[in-house]
Amino acid sequence: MRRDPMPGAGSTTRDVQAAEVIVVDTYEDARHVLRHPSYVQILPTSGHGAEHTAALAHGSVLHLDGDDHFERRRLLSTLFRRDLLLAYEQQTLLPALARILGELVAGPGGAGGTKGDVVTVDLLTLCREVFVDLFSRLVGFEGLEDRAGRSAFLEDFAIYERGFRAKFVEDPEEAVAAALDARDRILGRHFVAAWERRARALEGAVPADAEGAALPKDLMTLLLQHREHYRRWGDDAQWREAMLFMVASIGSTSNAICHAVGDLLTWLAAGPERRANLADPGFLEAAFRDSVRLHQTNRLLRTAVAEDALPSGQHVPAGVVVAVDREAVNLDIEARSSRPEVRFAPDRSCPQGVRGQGLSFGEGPHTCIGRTMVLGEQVVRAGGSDGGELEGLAVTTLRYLFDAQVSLVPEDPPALVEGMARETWERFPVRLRPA
Amino acid sequence: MEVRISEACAATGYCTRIAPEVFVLDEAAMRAVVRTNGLATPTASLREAVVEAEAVCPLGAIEVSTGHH
Repeated sequence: MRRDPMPGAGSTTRDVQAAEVIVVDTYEDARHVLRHPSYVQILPTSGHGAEHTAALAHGSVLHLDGDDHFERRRLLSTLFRRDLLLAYEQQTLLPALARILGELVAGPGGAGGTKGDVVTVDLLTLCREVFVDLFSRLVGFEGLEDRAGRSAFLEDFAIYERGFRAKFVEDPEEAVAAALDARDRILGRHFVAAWERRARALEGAVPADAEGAALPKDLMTLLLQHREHYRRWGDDAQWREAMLFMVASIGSTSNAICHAVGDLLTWLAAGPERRANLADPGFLEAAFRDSVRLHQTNRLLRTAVAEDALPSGQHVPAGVVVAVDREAVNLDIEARSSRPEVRFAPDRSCPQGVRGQGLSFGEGPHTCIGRTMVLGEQVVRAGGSDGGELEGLAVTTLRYLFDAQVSLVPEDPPALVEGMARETWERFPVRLRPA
Repeated sequence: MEVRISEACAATGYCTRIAPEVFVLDEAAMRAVVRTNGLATPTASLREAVVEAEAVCPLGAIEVSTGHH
């Protein structure tokens, strides 16, 4: 660990206050900070770029701490119970993958193409289309069933996601303003009508649907059932929560899948015998964990509520900003793993107590609520399944892509978003041969 | 009623808030641990709290078995 003048949150030097910041760069110290109740997230007024995302995330679960955060997580966790995760995966994700890869074979409008033909697609768009179905089910958005609806939605989604990552871009004010406009269009097209219909149903004025079935168990229903809770953060807090779910379930996951495909293709190129590993879901899971660790390089910021001593012995005075340097933590993990010499290694094993994915899904109260949805249950891959098959959307998606012989397009390499200090893909062209 | 916490625990603190009679944060290890008092013959409310804690844990780190007599 070291102390230095703050060089910038998330690799940016904007909005940095001159206050001394303690930079944490070992896995044990970082885990301690993220897990310990004495550390809370910095406030938007603290600078460090946090004020930009506040316009889009204030009052969402991402920006809460303490009792408020716990209360919110307790509400939201009802959408992530195991039976629902299984349903999302088996009833939504798997059909979406089959349908969208099937549409690739059929070609535009269902014309042309036969099984086994090679098609060139943008993997980022393909993943987003797949995860739109999952997001719609989780949140309750409507009008995303047809290609035209999804296409318009994804256009505004990209604008919104850029604003949501405003602290990493060169024009944060413009990005946030554009995101707010995109949010209004998205909500107007896909949310408001369903919201109003459900609100009337909850009041008993109309049946939930034509068949009179119960309201679906999703975020929209939850928001309606807990309106008073959300109003504590303003009238728009419910929209901000829904949009947070959108960015997390569609944007973050699609970006991570592209990274994992890129890392795996590079790794596979070193020896054709390595392809045999692709049939093993446990291998794909380990590959995804190592990849997602590698590409989480921004800093996590916390404020020490009370003074503390870190495992390394460093004293942390109350009130200082503590920056968890994920890039340094990643290097620490690698150095102590079985494969210290390489940055990406799906066969890496880590010391006991060190997670292969590093800090990518968080630790402590802010552990990602969608963690199990993405990573699945390790017990399944250890052969101990009890009949439920929660594979996780990362492994499921990678399995489909490698079954379709995904490969890069040499003359059209993937490109990152320009002007963003975070590895976010702009496009990721690949070739597929859907079976 | 048997309750175990696996190595997956990330010290979210949710279980210690929902069922403080059963779960406590070990600050040295920075993870939740189980108190055993009262688990042999849990009250209905305690049983309910433990089951909720199991469901809320985002790591799936809590394992509950009720056993049969």
